[in-house]
Amino acid sequence: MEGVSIDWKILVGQTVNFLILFFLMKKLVFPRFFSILEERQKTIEEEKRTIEELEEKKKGIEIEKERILNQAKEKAELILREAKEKAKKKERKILEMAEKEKEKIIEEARKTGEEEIERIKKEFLEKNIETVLVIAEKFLEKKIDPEEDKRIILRLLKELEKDEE
Amino acid sequence: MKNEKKKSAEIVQKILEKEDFAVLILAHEFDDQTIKEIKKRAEKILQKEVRVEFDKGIIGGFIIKDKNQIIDASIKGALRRVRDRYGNF
Repeated sequence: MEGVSIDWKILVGQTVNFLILFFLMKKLVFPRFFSILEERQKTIEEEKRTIEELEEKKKGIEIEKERILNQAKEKAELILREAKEKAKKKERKILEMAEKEKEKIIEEARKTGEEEIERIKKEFLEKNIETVLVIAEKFLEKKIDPEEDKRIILRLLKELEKDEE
Repeated sequence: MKNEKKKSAEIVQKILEKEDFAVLILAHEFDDQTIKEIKKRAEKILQKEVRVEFDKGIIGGFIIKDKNQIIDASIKGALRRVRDRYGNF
């Protein structure tokens, strides 16, 4: 025990130094230190809250984005459907108009054709009626013998009898 | 020729106006039985006496004349009607 000895003066001095240091630390450093820690804690918590809020906002934005996208999609589909419907209507209208035009052209062509035929017939008859009738007369004079004439007369009388009834 | 026909038609018309009978003009001189049958049926229709005459010019069919009417059912008449219809555009 001779090698190990306590220097009471040094021990007291060191204890006093420690106490002074502790006191100074407690007065000057610790409050600051704890204040920094507390602030840091608050900052971290605030940041955590901010992150959570941002996450919430992000979710909200995602939902909003989804909603807007769906809305846009629906609107686009509606516009497309309407455009298709309009195109179909227009197509139908064009087809109807074409059909009417076709019918009109056919009708006009038919009418023109009929008029032309009638005109040719009339022209032919006008120019040839006398010849046609003379030929018909000659033909009928030969064709209608007494037997044939008898049949004609009896048939005509029968019609007259019917009219009288 | 036309004047003669017109005259005889006028005479027939005058006779018809005085007498109450009709004239049936035929193109062919049929046998008696046929004429009798035609005459009988014409009288039934007209409800009066019918006298038969012949005119080859009508070609076929018959013409009935009485004081009120002329029924032209002859071939010549039919041809004339065709001429009237198509000959005067």
